[in-house]
Amino acid sequence: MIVVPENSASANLKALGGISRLLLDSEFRQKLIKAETVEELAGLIKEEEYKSSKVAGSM
Amino acid sequence: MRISDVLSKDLIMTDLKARTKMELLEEMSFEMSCRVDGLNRVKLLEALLEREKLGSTGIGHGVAIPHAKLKGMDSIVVAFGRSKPGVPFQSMDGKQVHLFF
Repeated sequence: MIVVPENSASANLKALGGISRLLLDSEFRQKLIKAETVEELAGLIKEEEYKSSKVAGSM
Repeated sequence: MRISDVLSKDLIMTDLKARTKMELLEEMSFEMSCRVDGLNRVKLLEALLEREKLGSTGIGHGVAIPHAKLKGMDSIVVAFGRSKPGVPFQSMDGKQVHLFF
């Protein structure tokens, strides 16, 4: 769920784009469904984002 | 901007109880308004419902990204909710949604 200030269209789009890109990966989705704790979920998201930023950076 | 920088741990909900789309939006709005200063539960729910009227934010593969613009917010707030049994959310592929981002 994403809530943005009324006059911030670009922040909204960036967040939506970032999240939906990560969620294209079915393995990542399965990990999110199976994770037990908040810490585990937060860690998975951070890790996936780090991996995807490295891929984007190398292109 | 990184999602992990704007998603605080107290806005990660591991076990949502909602069984319908309406209940889901109510539950997440309630939890968010309890944790974020200046975030009004009723206004948030109204804005989310308005957005859903344009078409479900259920993007398929068990994922939905409900979102809203709200007056009076200082910055972006991101929450993550998970439903183990899944919630019907009028998704494009007709699948139940487990992950609400």
